Amino acid sequence: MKRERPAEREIAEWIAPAFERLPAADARRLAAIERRLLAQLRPRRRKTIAWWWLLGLLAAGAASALWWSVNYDSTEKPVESRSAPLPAADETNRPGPAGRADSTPAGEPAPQRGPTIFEREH
Amino acid sequence: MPDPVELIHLFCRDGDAGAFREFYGSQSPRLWKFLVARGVAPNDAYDLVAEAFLRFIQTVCRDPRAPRAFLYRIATNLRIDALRRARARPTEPLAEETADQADGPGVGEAAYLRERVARLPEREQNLLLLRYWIGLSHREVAQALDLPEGTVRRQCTEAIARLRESWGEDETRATG
Repeated sequence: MKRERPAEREIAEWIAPAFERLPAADARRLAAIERRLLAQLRPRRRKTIAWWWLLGLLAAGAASALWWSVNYDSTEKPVESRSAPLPAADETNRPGPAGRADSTPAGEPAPQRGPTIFEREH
Repeated sequence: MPDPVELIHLFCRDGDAGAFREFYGSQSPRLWKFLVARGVAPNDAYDLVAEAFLRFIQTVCRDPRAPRAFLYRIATNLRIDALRRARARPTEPLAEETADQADGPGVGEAAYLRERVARLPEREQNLLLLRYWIGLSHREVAQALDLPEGTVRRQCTEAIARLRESWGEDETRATG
């Protein structure tokens, strides 16, 4: 017996129901695959968090380096006083109200500071 | 049914495992059936589903605009490799098909249609099943099979026409 030839549109519409009739997958096996896949997803999230930690550490390191560079410059500032006008350095050796020698208690030897600069300059 | 594109968008943007679970729940039974319909042994089809989804979650977020097309692209490529490996092994018989449905072809016609589709060239089988069964758009089929969209449109029409022409041909030959 010859089959009746359906229209093209009918064939297109029959494809989905014809293949949907195939036996369905075992839901338990698909669920087991799903569990394995979800287990794969978890480390991915931890990895992302680890990247954030690394970024945080880098930022903290950069901030620390910046802070130290600023402070290092500020400790260098007293060096500028070495190029201060010579008369001022000279005054430090003289006793009197403006001299630094006054700041040391009587009887104690004055610390060796200014003269070194003075001698080098001359 | 939730929009697969939206689910994958949530998964990629927020790492939403629930969205992925929903996507998997809606796609995996049909992907398994698709692989079986394309000649993969039922047991091997589970392995392919697992492998396809694993590759999918590793790469889909690079371009999550057409996730179903991407999933079927992975699956069809894996299927080719699997069939090559399994060529020597005997295929397992399929269980009986599900009960008759109210609309659509009867059991006999459905089996006949599947058999006719199976005689088409590889590419046309993929085209017809992805377009008319899985429900991908022409553009998505083009992405899944790496073909121009115009070619997909044309070949779908041609394949359906060829199916119609050959409908009942073998029986005519047998009887007359």
